[in-house]
Amino acid sequence: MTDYAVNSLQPIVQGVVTFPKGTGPNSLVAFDGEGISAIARRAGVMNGAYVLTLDAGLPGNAGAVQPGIGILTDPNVRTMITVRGSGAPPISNIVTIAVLYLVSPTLGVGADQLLIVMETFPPALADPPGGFEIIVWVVVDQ
Amino acid sequence: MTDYAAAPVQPIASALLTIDAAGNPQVTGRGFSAVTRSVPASLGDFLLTMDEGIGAADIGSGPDFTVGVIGPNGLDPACVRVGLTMRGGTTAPGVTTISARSVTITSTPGEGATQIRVTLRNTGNALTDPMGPGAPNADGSGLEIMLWNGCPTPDDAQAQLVGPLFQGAMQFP
Repeated sequence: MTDYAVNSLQPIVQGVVTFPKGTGPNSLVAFDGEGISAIARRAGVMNGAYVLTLDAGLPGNAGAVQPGIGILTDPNVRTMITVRGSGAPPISNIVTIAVLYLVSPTLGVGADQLLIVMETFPPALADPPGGFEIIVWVVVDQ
Repeated sequence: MTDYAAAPVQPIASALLTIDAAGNPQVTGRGFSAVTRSVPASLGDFLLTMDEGIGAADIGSGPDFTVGVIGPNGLDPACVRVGLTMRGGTTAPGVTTISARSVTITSTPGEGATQIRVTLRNTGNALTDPMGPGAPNADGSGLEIMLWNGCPTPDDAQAQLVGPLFQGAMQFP
């Protein structure tokens, strides 16, 4: 059995984001899982953009992940998002999904929030009625 | 304790694919030793080579592989699992134009899979890079790539992967 370039990853977030009162402009958004202490819509954006705050109890520095040099090169964190379908048959209205790691304005804290942005087609910010699953890992030095 | 449907997976690579100022793809992170544009070269079409790492002198593995092959030692293509996530672009609040992300496992007889081909298309169905040359653009700011071996033995699965969420293993320098 090969152990070809084995890489250590540590899951720090896993959960499901849902819309308890249904989707719509500024409707309630909720996170159910582990690793996130707060979730909100992006300020000024009514659909399809969510800010998730990492739990301060996470390992590392106050729940943050070490940032790279600028937003481009953060090598230390990975995210995977899967949209849950809705309707019959259950399908997704989401066409694009993007993630950004927001660095705390407090010097030295690192990235302590995730920004998730979703669009439908034709391109327009949109919520997925079925919600979405999210897993976040940090890369662990060996 | 129960081990109901336990499914160990072995993390092989976690990388970030970006475009340098000259327009060439580059990969940072772990698990990939090289990235090129596929041939013929095109936007949004990349060939990533897995790092031979400590498996370089191992014995070929996986069903139907030649027994006794000495490195490079690829993965059984049927066991490769990949996650692709776009990083947001410059259009507020951080959207991406990339809608279709796909991966093809490149396998060599007797060696297994040592490369993956990743293609990205935008909402207009055009092959598109995950960012501009050396800088984010409206398409995005890079592509996160994760790759697992879905057929490890339990001993190969790292404790960090299957262990508790809040295992205190991460450190800042």
